[in-house]
Amino acid sequence: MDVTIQSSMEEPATEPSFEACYDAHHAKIFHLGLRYGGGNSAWAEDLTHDVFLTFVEKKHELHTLDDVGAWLYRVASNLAISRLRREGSFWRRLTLARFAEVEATGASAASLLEDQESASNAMAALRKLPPKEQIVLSMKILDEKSQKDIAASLSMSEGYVSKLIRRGLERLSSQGWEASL
Amino acid sequence: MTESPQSFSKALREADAELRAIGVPSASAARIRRRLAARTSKRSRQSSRLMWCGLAVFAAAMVLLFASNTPKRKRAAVAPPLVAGFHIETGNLAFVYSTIPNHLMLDRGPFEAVHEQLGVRISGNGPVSIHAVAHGLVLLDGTAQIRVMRRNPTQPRLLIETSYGRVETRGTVLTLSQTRAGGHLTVSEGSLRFIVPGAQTRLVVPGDTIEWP
Repeated sequence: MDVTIQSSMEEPATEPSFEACYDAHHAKIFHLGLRYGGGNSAWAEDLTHDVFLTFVEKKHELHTLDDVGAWLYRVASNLAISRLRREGSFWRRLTLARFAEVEATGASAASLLEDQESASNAMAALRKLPPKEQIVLSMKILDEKSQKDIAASLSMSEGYVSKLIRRGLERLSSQGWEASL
Repeated sequence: MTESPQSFSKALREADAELRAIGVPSASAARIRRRLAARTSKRSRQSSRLMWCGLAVFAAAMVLLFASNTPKRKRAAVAPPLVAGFHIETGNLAFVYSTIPNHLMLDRGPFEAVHEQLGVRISGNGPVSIHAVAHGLVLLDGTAQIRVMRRNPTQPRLLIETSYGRVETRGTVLTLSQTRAGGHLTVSEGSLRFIVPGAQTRLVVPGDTIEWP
């Protein structure tokens, strides 16, 4: 279950090459996109594209970085929060409804996990949470990150991360899930 | 939901494992590659365009800098107007005139006139009437400061005629005033001889003043 991305690149003194980095990490980033996008592959494609575009833009600043994978993970999580928040806005929901993408997004997880009803329901329940709670709970449950690591990755305080986790679990409990860590 | 509560963590982990098993579809991978390639090449084109714009601005700035530092063509020296043998260097020409040869009349100052043949510079603020002769000047009316350029001993002295006597000098600065009622002279620099017909010649030095009649 651990999705922690370990860097295979040990070139702290030189600028990381895009090709090597992409080959090593794009599958993991795509998986994060599927996870945060509720199984929507288009959503995952967009996230992967955005993450590696950020990498291209910041590449010259990353020569001191020891773990590019951790950096990409952090960028992916933050970009996912931004995308989810944009999608949650009133205008965005109107646009999505107009182009009937909401149905497609909702159907993707169900179609991917059609054999496992509980897994599909869990993914749908996660998608109903506010963006920050979705990401924080995913990092906590699926990546088994500590609150300290989550706080560092998302530039939040530990107290705020704790509050997000507690609220997320409360919401899930109210939906009938046995929500505990 | 179900009757007995299910473990959310367990269900979510199962879902995540399924998603991981999907991997990256080849079509998705190709699309991501294509989009990234398009965006990065667009950015490189933009940066190249920016570089050329920067170079153009730099070149324009250098041209402007060069143009501003190029020495301007010097205006041709215009000789001051010549009136009655005097070059009028300063003064309103509307108030400078001459009715007879070598006779200069300056109605309003300030003015500055130079007679190069005599080696004399005359300046003043009020109306002056002055006449140039072979070896000197005749101050007919008005007040003027007269600067006589230094002369060699071999050259003849400059003569300045007044109603009372004659000034002879080889170089001096004096203020001379002549009216119908009389006049006075004061020496500022150098010295002069004041010759009164029928009287003793007097040497006048800086600070001395002679008044007449």
